[in-house]
Amino acid sequence: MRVFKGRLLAVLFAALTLLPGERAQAELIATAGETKLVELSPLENDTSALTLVWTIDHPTLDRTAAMSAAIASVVTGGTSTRSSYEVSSFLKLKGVEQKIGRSGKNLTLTVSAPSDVFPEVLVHLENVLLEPRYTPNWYARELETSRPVISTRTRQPSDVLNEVTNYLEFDPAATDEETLETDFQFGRPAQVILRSEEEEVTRRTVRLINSLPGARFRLGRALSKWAEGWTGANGAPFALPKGIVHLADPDASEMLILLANAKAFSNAQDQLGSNLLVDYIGANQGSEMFRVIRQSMRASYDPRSDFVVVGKNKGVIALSATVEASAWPEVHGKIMEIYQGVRDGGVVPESLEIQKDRLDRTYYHRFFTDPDWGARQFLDEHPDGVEGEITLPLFEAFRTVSTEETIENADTLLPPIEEFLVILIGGGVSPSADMRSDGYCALPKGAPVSHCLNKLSNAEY
Amino acid sequence: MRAAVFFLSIVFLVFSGSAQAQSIIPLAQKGGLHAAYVVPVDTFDRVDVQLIVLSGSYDDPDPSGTAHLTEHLAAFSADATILRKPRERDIYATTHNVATVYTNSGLPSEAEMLLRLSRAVLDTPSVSRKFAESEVAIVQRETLLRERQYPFRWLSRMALQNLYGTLRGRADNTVEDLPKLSLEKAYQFHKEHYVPSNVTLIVSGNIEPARAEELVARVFGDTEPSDAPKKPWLDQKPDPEKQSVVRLQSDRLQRDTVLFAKFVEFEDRSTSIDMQGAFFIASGILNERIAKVLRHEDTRILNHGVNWYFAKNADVELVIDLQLMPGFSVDEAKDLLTETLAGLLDEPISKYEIHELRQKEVVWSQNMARRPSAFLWFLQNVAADGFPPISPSVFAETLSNTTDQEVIDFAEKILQPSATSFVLAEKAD
Repeated sequence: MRVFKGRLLAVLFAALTLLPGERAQAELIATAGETKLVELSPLENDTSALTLVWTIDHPTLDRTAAMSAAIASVVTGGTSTRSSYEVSSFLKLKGVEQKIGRSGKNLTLTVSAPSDVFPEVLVHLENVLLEPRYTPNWYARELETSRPVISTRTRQPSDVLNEVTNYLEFDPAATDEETLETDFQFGRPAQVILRSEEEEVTRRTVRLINSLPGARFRLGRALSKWAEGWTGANGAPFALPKGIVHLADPDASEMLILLANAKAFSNAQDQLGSNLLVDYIGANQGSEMFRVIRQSMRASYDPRSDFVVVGKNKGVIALSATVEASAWPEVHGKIMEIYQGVRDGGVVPESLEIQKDRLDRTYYHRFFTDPDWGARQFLDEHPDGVEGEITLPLFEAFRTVSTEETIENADTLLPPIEEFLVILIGGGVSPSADMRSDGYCALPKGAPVSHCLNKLSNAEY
Repeated sequence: MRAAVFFLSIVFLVFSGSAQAQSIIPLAQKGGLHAAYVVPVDTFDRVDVQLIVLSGSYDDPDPSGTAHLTEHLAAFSADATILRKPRERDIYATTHNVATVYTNSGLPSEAEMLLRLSRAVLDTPSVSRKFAESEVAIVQRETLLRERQYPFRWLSRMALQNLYGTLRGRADNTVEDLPKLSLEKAYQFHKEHYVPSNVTLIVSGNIEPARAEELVARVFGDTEPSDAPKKPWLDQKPDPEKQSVVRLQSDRLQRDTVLFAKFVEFEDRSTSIDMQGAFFIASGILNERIAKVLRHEDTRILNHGVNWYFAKNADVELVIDLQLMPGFSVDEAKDLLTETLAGLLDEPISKYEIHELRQKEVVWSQNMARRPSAFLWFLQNVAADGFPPISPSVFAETLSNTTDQEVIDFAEKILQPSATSFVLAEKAD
């Protein structure tokens, strides 16, 4: 599968545009250096897309939420000439999709639209970036939306996993208590990722970037404070604590069991091999967890595994099931047994090959139809951009990883089951003393999972 | 037919652009099926077969959940009968209000196998008694899981129970009925509802019409027509004077929520088949006006969703879901919504507004055709009522054939006084 055009343009923008006077006090988010423009293969569904990438120094959870809310406010809150409703109407009439995402320290705004109207959409984007007019209340609403969900209320495995990955990605000690700025402007991005075949789109993209202010106008109030107060998690090991996080809800008839482990890999091949094994364990209806826990034990509707890519050669492996409260110890034991069996090499090669084909198709399909996802793949591999030939080793690994070797190396590609964090949310008996030996934290109702992750990490149990 | 609008603060999913026309071609050699169609498109290198049983949760007997249990049994039975090797594809089956949809997707070369998988759904489920009995427990697990994850499910159920004054038909009693689920009721439901005359088949994707005709005749040609089941819920109407308001607190909620339901009856109409265009445009205009007030002129509502259900007999059910910002009370939100709806047509609907809405809807529909799953949803939406499916290009034609006056009359009817139901739900710690 060849997915890249292999063309990189490093664009130097000498000309700067002054901010309009009435916006002079806005917090400017922009790069002080050059903007790197990379062109990836065009999308397959007659759409074009542009991803603008702004880098946050020392990202914290609060700051990332604030920046996401700010971008959302800028692109929806109206301009000096268009109300928010008029902006919304324009987006619908042109068929524009806007997504805000993140890869590590990089925040992204991906704008996509049918190719025939995309040049016009770029003009609109230039206007909203230069002349945003959202209100503080609009921003407050976007900020509320950006806040992480408390997963103990929804009890969705994906929400719990989101809290776990946030814990891994952000310094748990870093909080931003001070009142944040509400007035932002987004200037020149650090990177631009383009998905279009049209020369006109490239030309207008360059014009758009040229029109945006650079970081020399950065006032740096709130952001500087954040940066100064932050001690940093760089260099911290990519790991979750062992032990048990337990929210006991005696009124609940169900128990959510989730086992999680953070694993760093030495290369893309190992990451992909691990991903395939995890998929084999529980990613779909052809998996072992579905076959055993759902179809044989009849114990859960949603047994599943997840492999969450957190960055280059880093992933979170998760196994989960929601079960009748009284049955959770038995199902927990069965999940561990299934995992251990696969780790010991108990894998049907034909089924693993099917999982590989499925994952390959998923990667291919998403890369060519989902520009936000595609941008994240690029940024996971090249967070600071790239010059010269563009490679994404994870995509290339599909051609080099063999299922036979993956099975042979299962015990190194999958971490020992004893090293998994266990999260229990719901009813049923408390974990046994034996289970608690690696650490136990009782999670108060309504508290985030990170409350216990901090305690387990600091051996406060 | 269902139209839904959700406004999210970060992700904005609206699509546009030119797209190829998608013809809806009826298939004559369909055996006893209610209807069969092929929709040839070469945008995607795949074929999708949707078998739509024209009965869903509204058709549940006592207990609620029977249609759902039947869906599980039929899907696993079909899968086990046709596929005999390691699973390469997941089963996709969903029980909606008025229909149960089985979707089988694959490469064009697999078209016959996909049709045979679909055909097997109509056979009496042949899974072991032990498996079938334990599937009841799986349905119970699934129901409880969804209840926890999506509070909208139980909040809207409560609103509809209070609106219609019943626990059956248009309203249900799913959770309380879980212990009463029975295999006998499910098999009886299959016998009555999974009959050819109650089934629509849609084959779409990269397939020649002649080949689809040949394959459908081969796989479904031996099915015999029979009486379609009755739909008693179509006669179920609430007391027009009903004005229900209930309050609750729950630790399952992420934030304070207001749920509103309204029933509208077009007394002079017996079918909605010729009102589709007016419904889509009028509901779109009302959605835009609601958004203008609740999202663009006010910032105290975090998210709002507007769900429309337009039944085949032209009854309309409108459900509005408000997620509140901290500090904005459920009572204030109720007053805001009531005031908003009361004043929604103070400014008459203009020709320009209708014109612009038509454009937005066409752009939206064209972009649905760009994504396989969205395209399938589009085809099944109207077909779930037993009507011919509407493709994005047919949709555009339908909108252009709708007069402005039809749109205005529809919108005015929606906002006339009728039965309503509020649930004011506060988050508890």
